[in-house]
Amino acid sequence: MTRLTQFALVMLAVAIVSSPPPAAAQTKWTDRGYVNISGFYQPSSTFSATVKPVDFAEASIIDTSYKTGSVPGFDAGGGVRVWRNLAVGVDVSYFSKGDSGTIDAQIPHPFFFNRLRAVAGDASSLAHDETAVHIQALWMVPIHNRWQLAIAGGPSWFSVGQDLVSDVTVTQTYPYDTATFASATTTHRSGSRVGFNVGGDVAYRLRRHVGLGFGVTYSHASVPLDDTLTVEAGGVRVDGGVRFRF
Amino acid sequence: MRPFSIAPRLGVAALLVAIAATANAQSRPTTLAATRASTTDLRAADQIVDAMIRDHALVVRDAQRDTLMPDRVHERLDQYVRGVRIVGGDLTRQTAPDGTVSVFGTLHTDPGIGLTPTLSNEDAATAIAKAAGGDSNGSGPELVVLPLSDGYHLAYRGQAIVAGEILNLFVDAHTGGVLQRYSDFISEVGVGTGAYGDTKKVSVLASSGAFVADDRLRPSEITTYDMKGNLSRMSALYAGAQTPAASDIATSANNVWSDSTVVDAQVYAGWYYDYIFKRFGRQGLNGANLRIALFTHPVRLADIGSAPNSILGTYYVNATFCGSCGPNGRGAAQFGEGAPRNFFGGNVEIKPFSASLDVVAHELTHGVTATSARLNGFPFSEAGALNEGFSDIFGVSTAFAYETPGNAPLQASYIQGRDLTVPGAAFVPGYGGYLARTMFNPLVTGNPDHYLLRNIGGEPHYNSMIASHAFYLAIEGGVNRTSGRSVAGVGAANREQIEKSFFRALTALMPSSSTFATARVTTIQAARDLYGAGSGAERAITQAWDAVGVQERTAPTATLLPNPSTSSASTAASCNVSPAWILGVTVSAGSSSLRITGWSSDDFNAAGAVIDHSVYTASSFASQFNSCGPGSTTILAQTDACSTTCWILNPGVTGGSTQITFAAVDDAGRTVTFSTPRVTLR
Repeated sequence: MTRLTQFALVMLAVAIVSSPPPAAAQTKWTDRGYVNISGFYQPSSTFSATVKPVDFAEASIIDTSYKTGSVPGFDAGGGVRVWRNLAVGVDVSYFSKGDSGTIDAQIPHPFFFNRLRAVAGDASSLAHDETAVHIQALWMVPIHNRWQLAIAGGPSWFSVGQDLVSDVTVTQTYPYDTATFASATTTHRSGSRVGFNVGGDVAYRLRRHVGLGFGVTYSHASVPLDDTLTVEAGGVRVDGGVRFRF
Repeated sequence: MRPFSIAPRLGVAALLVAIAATANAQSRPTTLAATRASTTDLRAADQIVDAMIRDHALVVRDAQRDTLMPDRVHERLDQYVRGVRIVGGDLTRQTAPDGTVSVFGTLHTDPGIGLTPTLSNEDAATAIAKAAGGDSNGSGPELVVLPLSDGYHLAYRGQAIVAGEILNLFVDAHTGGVLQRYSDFISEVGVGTGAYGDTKKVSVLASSGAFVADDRLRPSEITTYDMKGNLSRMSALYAGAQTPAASDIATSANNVWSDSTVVDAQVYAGWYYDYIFKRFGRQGLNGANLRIALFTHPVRLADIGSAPNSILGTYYVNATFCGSCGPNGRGAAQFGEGAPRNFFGGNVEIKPFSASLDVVAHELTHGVTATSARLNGFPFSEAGALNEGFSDIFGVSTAFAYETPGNAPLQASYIQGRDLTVPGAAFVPGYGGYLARTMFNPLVTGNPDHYLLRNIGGEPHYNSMIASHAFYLAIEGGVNRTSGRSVAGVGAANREQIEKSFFRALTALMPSSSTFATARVTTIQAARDLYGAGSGAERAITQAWDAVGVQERTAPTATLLPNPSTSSASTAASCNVSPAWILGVTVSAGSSSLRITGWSSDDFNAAGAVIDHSVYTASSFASQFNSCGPGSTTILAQTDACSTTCWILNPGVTGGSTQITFAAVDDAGRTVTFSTPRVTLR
């Protein structure tokens, strides 16, 4: 569990504990449904990938560490109460970001096997987009007249698109014993996979049907982009926005 | 005419007097080795060189900046007499910003012969072609002064193609008679890899949907031709009589090269280019990225059973380099096809000759030599032996640069050509010897490890091991088995020092007429240049030459070599009497020319008692000592007279020893006598 996850759960607990003890009547959730519209912030994440394209009749080894920067995104969701405080809903999130990649590569020598030459460089503007559809079972806990706590979880479907470093170009001159990184060759890959989500949301009603809220969600799926590369989608997400109750 | 001498240790005054006195003395060659060890001599030599350049008696043939010491420049100068080049008369001069560093070479006094030929150029070309029994090759003949052991000749030098071989001929400029001839093929016996199933990268060129063995990644284009067993086509291309077509270049449809002969030739030539570039900074064979042409599959292995000996020895069991062959006549190498297991007996397989890295490197070193020291003069001279020796040296050195040291196939060792046979370095009965040469102990493969064992006039590879063994000792150290002298080598970790010293000597300091003594002084000078006077490299090289018996050549010497050392049925057959020995006898003049006045032999029985003392006339010397030059009673300074002759002790005597003594008069009119070592005959 990351530090951010721990912080979010602690804050959620504090919010619950610091709330006044709910009256008996207040423990029953009477709304018929909800709609949440949020902006979110997803902390930076990293992953690495190795590709082995053939150069000079021998496999190169290209290790790239990708870093998806701290990303603002958008999500929207809603659901209906189906039994007492239980609701079912769906939440959709999307973000797009230009990644950077740090490349450490071993490039074959044109004349000799097993005499790889080390080069290093960076790749920028690697497109990364991630769409997630979270199916949620939600348990709403009215805490106070104006406060509500929602605990939710369920399966998620992730679709990820990613620019990947597939090869590098180098500058080299005879006798080719060294090479210098020149640029990265990229290719776009995408994939999808089902994972899960779990999280909580605290809302404060400004009016009967409208309020503000913030929440913390952890979601995850391992999404294969090709036969050899799987990326981890999701992660801890902190969001805040408008809460509608009807 | 009188001689002038600019030999080292002569004072300036003596030099100038000598030059001034050249008008009335007997003509002769004089070797020159002037370094900063004697600034007086060096200054005097430098002045003489400058004066001769002004008089057009020396002409700069080539000048190159030093690749290892950028502030140095090396000039090569050819000697001319009234516009006619003297063969073997050339110098190297090394200069630094603060003046001349060294001068090495051989100069001749005015040869004292008329320089107006009776034959025209056209007549000479006809005479050359007729004498060779083939077609003349290349440009018209060159009028030269040709020093032979019996004196100076006005001659035409030309080439002819005979049965696919390039012959160099010198014909008398008055009579058209042949004075000297030798093949321009520099042949070698070596070893190879790739035929051993190893996988390596081949630098090729994509062309018309296929791939051709044409390396364009390196600054020098390297092309491997596949002659597909078409010997007539091979001969025409190699001799430069026809121009190669694209279809002559080895090809692969899918860039997966399965022809190991082609693979090895192409790859190893590239590695050799890399080696001399990285180690010495030399850009290709000529220092200017001359293209490298390699010919493979000159014959079909399946035809070996019907091949005549001349084809067998050249295109099956050999590799050659020819400096005037190939596209544009700029040099090419060809690699023999090898022989199936047991074809030559002994259950020995002979691999294709491109299969060995050190063999490919050896042949290409001939290309370096042909464009620098030009030691590919008469192969039966000491220069010819040095040509082979330096090729072995850099053949083996290339292997050490790319292969793991060891004695298995594809490993580097001091056995030149080890991988040519399976099993390695094997004796090949039908070939009558080894294809390999053991530099760590030349005696193993029947080669000399000492100057006293030389056989000038014999096969150049044989004598080459005097130099390559010295190279080995300078690196690894050890004791020379003949002299018993020990050498403290620089160690394998410092082999680069010795390699650089020898390469510098070959490419910058050695003149074309170099003797072993020249190799000694130039390699020592190179070590001084690179590592300083008194350096470990200089000490090791000096000790190594001492150990193999190579010193400055001042006094006359003689050697006697029984070959084979044991009498045999074959020896008896060739000599027509049994028991008999074939003796190789070399008589070497020192700094003075000699006029032989007589010679004698003493035979001893096994107990050491004299059983025969025979005295021979000078005229018999002239008639018998003709295997490395025209038979004559005169031996020019720094040249040799050689004989290969049948020898019996006494009828029926099966063992003992013999010694030959020579009497002569030197330039000063003094009588000198000198003898061969007393050699055991078993």
